[in-house]
Amino acid sequence: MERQALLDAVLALCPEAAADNAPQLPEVKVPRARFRALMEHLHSDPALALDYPMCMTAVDWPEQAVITCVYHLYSFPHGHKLVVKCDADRSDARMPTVSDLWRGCEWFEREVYDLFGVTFEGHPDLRRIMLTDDWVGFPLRKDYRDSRIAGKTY
Amino acid sequence: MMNLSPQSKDALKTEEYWINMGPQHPSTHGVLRLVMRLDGETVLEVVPHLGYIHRSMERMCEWDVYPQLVHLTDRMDYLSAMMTNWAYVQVVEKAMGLVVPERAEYIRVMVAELNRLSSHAMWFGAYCMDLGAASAFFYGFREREIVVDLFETLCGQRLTYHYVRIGGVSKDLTEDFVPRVLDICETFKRAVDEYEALVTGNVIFQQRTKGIGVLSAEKAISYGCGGPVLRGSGVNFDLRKNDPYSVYGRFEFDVPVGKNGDCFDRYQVRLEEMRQSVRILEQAVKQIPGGPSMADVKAIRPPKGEYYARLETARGDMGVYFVSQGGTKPYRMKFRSACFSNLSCLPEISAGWKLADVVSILGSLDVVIPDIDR
Repeated sequence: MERQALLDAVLALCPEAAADNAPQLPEVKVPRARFRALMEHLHSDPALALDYPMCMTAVDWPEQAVITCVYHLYSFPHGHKLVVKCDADRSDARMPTVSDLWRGCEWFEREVYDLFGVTFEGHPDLRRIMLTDDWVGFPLRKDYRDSRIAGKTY
Repeated sequence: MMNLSPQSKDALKTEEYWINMGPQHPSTHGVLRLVMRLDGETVLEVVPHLGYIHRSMERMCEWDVYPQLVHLTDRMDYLSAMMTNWAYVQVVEKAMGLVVPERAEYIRVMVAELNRLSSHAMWFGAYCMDLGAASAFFYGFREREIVVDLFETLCGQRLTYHYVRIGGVSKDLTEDFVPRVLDICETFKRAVDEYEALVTGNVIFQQRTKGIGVLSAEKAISYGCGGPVLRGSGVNFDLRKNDPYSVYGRFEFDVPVGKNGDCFDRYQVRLEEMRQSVRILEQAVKQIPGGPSMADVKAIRPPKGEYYARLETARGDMGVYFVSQGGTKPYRMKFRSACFSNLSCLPEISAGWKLADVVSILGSLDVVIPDIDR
């Protein structure tokens, strides 16, 4: 599907979403309440069929007090790509899981939980994946400080 | 057989138990720990534990300027470091709209395909050794050595090349490069036939791989698998063909695809990929133009925005995502590693097999642990 047609189709599914055709990949930003329903559609709708979890990560924005979860999806049947973004509240970061739709997201979400502290509700096995279970803090948050790395600028 | 009384039969009971494989275990190819629930020899559940060499590279990227980050990517997938270099460099160039000289693009294709050959040759040796064929290990390393020697002449390094740079490559080709590449092509044509003759038809090898660890196409897609793992499951998808980057559109080559998604198919896909890499190299040697091998790069400050690009490494779909605020350092850098996603299907495809089959399945996924842990 062409970029604009893809974005129009997503907006028809979820009018609350904000679409942006300007960046490198077509992207939509969804309010958290509509996120899960939209992702189910993106996965199962045969016209969209975004069946491949290309990448999933998060970006910390302390000034806006949000952690933005970023999902890069790809469609094998159609060959189009879509970026879906959703903000989680930084002080109480929670997101609905999509690991049942894309199995690969199970580990992606564990990584985001581990390094950003976002809790994915409904995840079957939400544990730290890289760090030890008793690690304190979330290293990819911008305000994370560690005595071993603090002040290291070069 | 011993005759047991009914009482002693009741006293003998079996129970499930957990064992650790790794983190220090030769068949995990690095520091990966698998905790397995067993019923006798049968594996009921596999729980991988990662992170033993997690270096938080994504955070390190936020401290350094863009050109300094290339060497970090060497230390992810160190067996195909040319391609991890390139994956990172490619996305920064896209963000800046930098035009790379054509000669540099050809050099990149050549070193990437050479690296794919060396990586697959090493995988062949290591995988056969996992299955007990110790001598095959030396065959794989024999051919890998000549590629690594060539890289050493080219950039001074045998493993962590730091060769592909933003704007081109660090040095132009040496004079003896092209003849040596042609020599390598001839060697690999013979070598892959020899691998096939030695191993493919072997009854023990076939019994250890055929029908073992079957990954269906739907599951491979759902888990985000890429590269030979995805193609072994019958999905005809190669980023070099389906989402082409650089000058790959100018070469003729086939994409080998498996049928059953078992360990044997993944093995065959990799062997055939080596033949295709030789084909690409032979064409690249003929087509390579003259000119500079490095663009005139002034300041590396990608404009504000978010960028994503993917590249087909020896292990699959490697993506790099970064957020730029317009400065000399990235605001956020994410490396989407091929091995991380390929390994995530292991619990699913190894349940129900024997303990020794897990070694075969894990080997057939061709994971490099530093690429998973980052």
